[in-house]
This record gives sequence, structure tokens and C-alpha cells, in this order.
Amino acid sequence: MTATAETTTATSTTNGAPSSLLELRNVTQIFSSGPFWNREHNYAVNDVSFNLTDKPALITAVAGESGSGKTTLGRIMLGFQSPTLGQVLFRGDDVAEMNAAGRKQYRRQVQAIFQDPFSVYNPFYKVDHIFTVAIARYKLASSRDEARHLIEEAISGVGLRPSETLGRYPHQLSGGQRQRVMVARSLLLKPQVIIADEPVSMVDASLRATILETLRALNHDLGIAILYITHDLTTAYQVADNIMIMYRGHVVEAGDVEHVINDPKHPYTRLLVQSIPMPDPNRRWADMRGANDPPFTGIDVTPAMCPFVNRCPDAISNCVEEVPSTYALDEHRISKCFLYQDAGTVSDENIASYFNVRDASPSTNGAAS
Amino acid sequence: MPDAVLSIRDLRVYFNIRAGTVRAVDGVDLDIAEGEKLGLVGESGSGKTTTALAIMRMIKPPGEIAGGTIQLDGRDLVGLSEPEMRAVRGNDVAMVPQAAMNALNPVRRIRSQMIDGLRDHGVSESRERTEERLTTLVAQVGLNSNVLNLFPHELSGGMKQRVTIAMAICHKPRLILADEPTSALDVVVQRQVMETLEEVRSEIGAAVILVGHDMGLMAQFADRIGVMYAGKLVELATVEQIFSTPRHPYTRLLISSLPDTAGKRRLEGIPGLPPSLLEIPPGCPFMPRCPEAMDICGVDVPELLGETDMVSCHLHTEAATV
Repeated sequence: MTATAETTTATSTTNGAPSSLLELRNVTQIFSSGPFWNREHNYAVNDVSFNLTDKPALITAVAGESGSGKTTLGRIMLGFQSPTLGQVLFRGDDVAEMNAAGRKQYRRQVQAIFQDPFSVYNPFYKVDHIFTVAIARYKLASSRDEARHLIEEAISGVGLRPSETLGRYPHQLSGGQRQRVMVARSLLLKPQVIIADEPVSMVDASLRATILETLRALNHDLGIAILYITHDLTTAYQVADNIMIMYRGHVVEAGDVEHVINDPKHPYTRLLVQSIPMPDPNRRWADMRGANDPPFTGIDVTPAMCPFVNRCPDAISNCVEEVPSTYALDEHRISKCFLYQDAGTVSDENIASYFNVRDASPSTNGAAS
Repeated sequence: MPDAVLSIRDLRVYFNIRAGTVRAVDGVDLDIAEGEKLGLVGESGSGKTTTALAIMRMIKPPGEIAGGTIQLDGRDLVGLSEPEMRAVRGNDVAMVPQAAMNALNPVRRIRSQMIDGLRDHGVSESRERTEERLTTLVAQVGLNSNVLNLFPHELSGGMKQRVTIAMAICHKPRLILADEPTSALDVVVQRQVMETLEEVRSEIGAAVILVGHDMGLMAQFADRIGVMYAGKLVELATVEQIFSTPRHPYTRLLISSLPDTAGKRRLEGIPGLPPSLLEIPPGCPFMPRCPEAMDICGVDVPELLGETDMVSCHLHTEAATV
């Protein structure tokens, strides 16, 4: 695996090579609760390192069940939360040590799109408000006309008609329109990174496709790196280049989305993929109850064990004795599971160094499909 | 359908508001056979939840059932008085709500909430007998009897949804209405809850109407699917037919907009927005968004026609009537 690491370092020094936009370095987030004599520590994010790059900017999905830490990861990247341990670097600078001007730039360049397209609006203001505030804050326009022009451009950019959107109150727009207005707001600021946390989970199926297509266009046409946080593996598959599967704060599997979803390796990813309700009556959920029962059901999972041990049908005694390392299965796949310990541990902690770069190897996608 | 458990004819649910009359459900005909699993899909505002609420007679003012009949085993629910309807709810028709966390009382233990449901329907028996009954019920939905001692906040989302399923089946209803029962759950738990629902359903032989917009879930669960648009059923067919040969352009677009994992492709949404239910345009309600609209679509409302695969679309009116 040293070869991979060498090529990665090699490419990053050549001209026009990817530079790191937003990087997490060994980030851990612990939420503590309970009284001081019986403190409970919950690792929402457990030692995660990865980055989002430009040239090419990719779409990276983060998937997992509720409580897996995917939203916390997004909040840390947005700077809403300082991690307990580790660093967040924006273009090489530690976010925690930035001065006011640097922070302002960071806030502008890293934009958020949230799950609920209603609660992000103040119902007393027209939707124009969310644009004018951003324009005033970053002094994007010198006149009202210029501001208006910028807003209209952004709204057209997400496939809405300005005349049907501006001047209205949030409740007068549909859920899909509200969500697209949020995307338009991000677009107005021309960010380098968008963190989209479940952007379509509250939107109808018919509009879901439109919003995801808009995100994809922002990435392809404008080169915005996108972190797509979701629990829906089918949309992650369609939109993202690479995916990280999280379970209780650990990234248990990561790599090229085509491989991870169509040939999952980690037992948790397998369970997730098997549970996708496929829109095809001829591919119904296979009966899982025939499979062997998890050998460690009911065990108290401590931070010193594999987090998935109590639900894992393939668990071995190793799994209760220590946390598995992350193993590199191949160039574009890592898995945190003892099943793959023969593969050798990763040479680079940065998960993104195992990601598939879209334009460099287009054949990978075609071959697997 | 002679052996129908539920038979809805020309159901109309209108909401009279200051701006006019909102026709949330506008002439729905539907038959559900004994033990059948029917999926009701559509966008928000298409009338699918309102149809389910109408069956429970739970439409609140300013809404009202403006017309039509809802026959459950031959008895028209629309004409029942409120006390008569109370006896039907829970006994004959039960509901599994969308948000289990809001359906359970946060300050009372699961046991006392379940006992309420039994007492309210005239079950009075010894404490031991009740306890036995509750234990069986929670076991049926795959829970340990100690959940009875817990408060809702001590249960996970999936467990809470199972409790609501246990409550729904406690009187062995003929029909279970499940309104997006798993939309708040993640895929693994969603699957477990849906499998639980299917298990208890087949045990008591009830029919189920599953309301939702997740076509994937429908494909996994339903026998037949009804597609609603702007308060009307636009297509009603077996799940295999809906997915292999959808006939209504709306159904076709809905299915092609679904993401899957068999190769990346451009995702296509359905252009446009559903019509305002205040002023439904003349003709087919889907016409403004329909890629295959013809002149007749703007004037004439197509009827729901056909034997097993029913569709209301002028593309098929000739074929169906000939």
C-alpha cells in the first residue's frame, strides 16, 4: 500500500494537482452526559481524518443510521462545533486559530444546506431576506440593482423562475422550492465547499431528483466540493463519487461508491445495503433471519471493542478484545473490520487518499455497472 | 369486488376555508379485499393521508366528508354517529401513525397506555389476564415484555413504532391504516418494522393500507398500488404492473425519478408543481405537467377505467372503452 501513498503525495505536488480545501485531522468528538461520578462518554466522531479537495472537486457521501455521527461530522466541518480532539483545517489553516477575517472567509467558502427547508427561514421575512443578508454581510453588490441581478442569477441557477420566487413568504413556496432557494443562496456566495445534510429527506420523490441534479450540476459545472450527508444509499450512489459509511462515530468502510454499494465488505455496510427498499417488486428483501445470529448479541459494547460487535453476524473473539484498525482492501477501498486484517493497515490515515478521482479513471464506473 | 373488506365509492373530502373550497379528495373509488396490502402513493397534498383519515372518520373542521360512501364489511361508516364510530375505531379499523413519538404519551408507561386502549373498548378482565394479553401483544411485535414498564423516551424509534403496531392490533382489526409508519426511521430499522407489520398482519388476517411516497417501500410491501394525484386516483394496479408497465404518464415519471443502485444516470424530476386544490383546472389535473398531453386533456376529465389495471388517462380511454 506504500505505492498508493507515494503516488498520492506525488500527484499533490505536481502542477494543477488537487489542493486540500477542508481537512479533518484525527478529529474526535465526545459528548459527555450524566453526573460527574458516573460520566458517560459518547464518541460521536471517533478519530476521523479526511479532506475535501478541489481540482477535481468531488461529491463525497457520508452515510449511516441515526446516531452514527454523520451530522456531527458535518457540523464540525461547518465550524458549528469545535472537536474535542484533532484539527479542522481550511486551506491549510487551523480553523480554531483563525483571526476574524480568516473566519469570515471560511464561513463564506463553506456553505450549508440543511434537512428541513422550512425551519431555516424566518417566516416573518420574505425569502429575499436570506439573500440580502448574505449580500450585505459579504458586500457582494454596490447597488440595489446589482444585488437584484445577483439574486436572480442565483435563483435561475437552480432552475427556479425569479418572478415566481422572489417577493414571496416561505409558506407560499413548496418544500422543493424552499430547498432549492437554500441551494441558490449557497450558489450566490460562490463557495468552494457545500455541506448538504440530508437535503432531500423531507422532499417529495418527484422533486428529490431535481434537487440532487442541481447539486450535481454545482459540482460538475462550478467545481464546488460537496459533502452529501444522508441515510439513503440509493441517492448517495447516484450523486456521489465516493462514500464513507459511519457507525457509532467510526468510519467503518469508505471508498468508491460503485464498489462500496454494489460490493459491500464491512458487515454493517452489507446490512445497510440489504435493507434498501429497492423500487422493484421482483427484488424483495431477502429473508435475513436465516442467516447466522450475531454471536455477541446483548454484549455491552465498550469503546475498546469493535462498535458493531453486538450486531455483527461475523464477529470473532478479536472483535471484543480491541478496536479493529482500518485496513486497505485495495486502492479505492478501506474497511475497519478484522475480516480484512490480512490486507494490511492503511498507510495514510487520510481516508480521502483512497477515494476514486472521477476524471482520472472513468473506466472504474463503467466496469462495475 | 364482492369479498371486499372496504369499499369506497365517490369519496369527497372538502375543506371549506375563507379562500374557497379545497377539494383534497375528489371522487375516489377503491375496493380492498380481505387480507390485501394496498399502497397509496402520491406527492404531499395529493390526498392520500386525507383518504386514510376519512376512513377513520377523523377529518377535522374545516374539513368534511362532502360525499360518497365508505363501506366496511357492508356497513357505511359515513353515516355512523360519533359514539358508533368510536366503537369501530380500534376494533375494526386501526391506525399506525407516522410519528410514533408524538402518538405516545410521554409521561405514562407503555403498560398503562396499552391498558387504556383495551379498557376503552370494553375489555374488562383480571389483572393477570390483561398482563398475559399485553405480554403476548408485545411479543408479537418482537419486543421483550419489560418495555411495558418503560416510558416512551426510553425506547428507540423502531421500538416505539412497534409499540404503536402492538396497540393497533390489540383488537384484531379487519383493516390497518399505516401512514408512513417508517418515514422517521433509518433503513435497517425500517425493514425490521415493516417485516413486523407484515408478520402481525398475516397472523390476524387484516388488510392494510400503506400510505406513503416511498416507492421502494411500496415495492417491498404492497400487493396493489393506487397512485393519487390532486385528490384523485390516477392509476390502480398490481405492484408488478405498476413497476413493469406503468400506464399513467405521472406513474411513469414517478418511477423513472427513483434512484437505484444499478448504474449511475441522470436523475429526472417531474417538472412543474401540482395544481392548487382550490381551483382545479378543467380537464385532467396532470395535464399542465404531462409530457404526453393532448387537446382533449384540457377539456375532459378522464375516468378511472379498466379491469385489473385501472388508469385514468386519455391515452388509454379509447383502448379501455373499446
